[in-house]
Amino acid sequence: MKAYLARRIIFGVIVLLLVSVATFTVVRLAPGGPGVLVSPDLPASEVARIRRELGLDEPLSVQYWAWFTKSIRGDFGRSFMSGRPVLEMVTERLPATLLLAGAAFTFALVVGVGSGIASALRPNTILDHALTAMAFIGISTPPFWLGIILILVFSVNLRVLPSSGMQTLGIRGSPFDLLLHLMMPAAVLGLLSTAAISRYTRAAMLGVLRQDYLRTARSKGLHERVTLMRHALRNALIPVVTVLGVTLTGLFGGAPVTESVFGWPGMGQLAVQAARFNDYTLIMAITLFISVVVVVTNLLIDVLYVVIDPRIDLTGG
Amino acid sequence: MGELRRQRIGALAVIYLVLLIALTLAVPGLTGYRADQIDLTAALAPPGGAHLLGTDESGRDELTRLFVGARGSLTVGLVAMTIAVTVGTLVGALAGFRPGVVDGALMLLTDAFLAVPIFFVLLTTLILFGPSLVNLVIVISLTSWMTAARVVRSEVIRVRGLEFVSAARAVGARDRRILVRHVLPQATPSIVVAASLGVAYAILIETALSYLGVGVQPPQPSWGNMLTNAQQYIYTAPLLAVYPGLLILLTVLALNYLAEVLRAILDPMAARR
Repeated sequence: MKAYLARRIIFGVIVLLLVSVATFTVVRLAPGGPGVLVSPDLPASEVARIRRELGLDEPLSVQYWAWFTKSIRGDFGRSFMSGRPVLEMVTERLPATLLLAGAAFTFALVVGVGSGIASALRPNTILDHALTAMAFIGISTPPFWLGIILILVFSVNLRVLPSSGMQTLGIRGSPFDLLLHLMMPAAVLGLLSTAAISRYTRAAMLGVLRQDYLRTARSKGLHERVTLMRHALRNALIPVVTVLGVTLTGLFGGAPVTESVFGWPGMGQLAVQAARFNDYTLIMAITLFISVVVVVTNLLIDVLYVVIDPRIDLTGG
Repeated sequence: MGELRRQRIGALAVIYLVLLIALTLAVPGLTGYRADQIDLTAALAPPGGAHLLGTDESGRDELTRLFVGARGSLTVGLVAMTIAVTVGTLVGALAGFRPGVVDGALMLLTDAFLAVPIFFVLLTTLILFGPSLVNLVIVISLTSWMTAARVVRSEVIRVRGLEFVSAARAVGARDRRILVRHVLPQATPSIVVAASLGVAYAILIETALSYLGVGVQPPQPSWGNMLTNAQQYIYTAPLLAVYPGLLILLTVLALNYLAEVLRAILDPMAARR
């Protein structure tokens, strides 16, 4: 267990280091990078002085180390867009993104596991085929378009749900108002994961239903519902946990699109704004932040996996 | 899926894709409009009449723009997939033939790419290097080679231990020859399936980036950037927000079903599981 966890933690740290090196290198090498911020009208000596002050004439490795040590201490510099400290801008957006991702995750888990079980209990029926087709449509729908269509139906035509933002102006701190704003973005962001979880649950459940211990449970005269919930579902959910990591990575990766469609004030929307303003200090910080969140949640899922399945072999990859 | 149902769905998917490509090539001539032909007197015209699917906010013919827009998406999808599969095959083959440090390092890299919210990296790179078709293809392919790499690697490792490969090696065949003659033919079914899914994935990413304004740039139409504009006119011309997305959905759906059917045809054992 300890060796396994140590290996996962080392992997997480390596991933974060790779992300930081990659973003740093891309930003410094790009034609739209810090070089262009110097006005072309300045005399060459002035340009050289500014470059020296910013440390741009140092070797890349030296620049990276300087940036890295500052970042570790939480100093990401100031945003060009707003002039405010980047750390402050990112942390104030974090709760909105976590709330949306959490809601989408819950939606995906409930609907995905539910429909997966329903499919597996009645394989090759009309219900199973319909749910399979829906999962296929689910993974093929562009999320931003689904968002626009939901806005068209529920905000423009039916006028029952708000089309954007996190709260209605004038209403502050109402949980019900927040819930109304949360529904459509959470469904859109969770759609892809819902389809994936549904497929995995169906396959795992079908596998478990064939096991001997289930026949034993039935032949003991246990109630069918007890058999399914206690004996089948528990075992079926174990492989499902493995896809949760991928699911979470996908949920955070989908944040820029979903948050932009619904005007949700999170880190994803901030990233798109930063991208449009060429605000590279901000977008570097956001990418690193999101990567940290993803790596940490994946680590938690690795731990969860070991806890729920004592059969897991910790010596192998 | 039953055998017959599978064949029907596969045929439908292929017919749709062929039709889409044919229309993409034929439509600007058929409709008689250019994709960038502005006519402010006919702005936001409803479907029917001179414009079969109506016009957008600048009076440009929607039908023409839809199929001219398809060119960008399909090209980016196909080219990005080709590069991704090539890179993935090379990485996977190298990892499979060089167990130990090289394999370990390459697989670590593959896992790292899979563990990162890649969309943020895409946004950053596109903005810094400028949103052009070429850059779109490069960033999408550089972030989608991992599946092919894993497939090829596991196939190399499986085949490496087989007797006919040992025999080939005994008569002096080198890694490259073993890869081309013995590994790739075996891995082709999995690679073809991965490629079909890869085109679908690339189209979804391209349209999302274009929607956010960092992909295909106006005035060149793309399914993604057409939806950006349509969202602003959602109260007056809601249909404009429907067409491009419907085409994305159908195209990606066709490619996903095609992958499923190909998997069943090329690898009957796996499909039955």
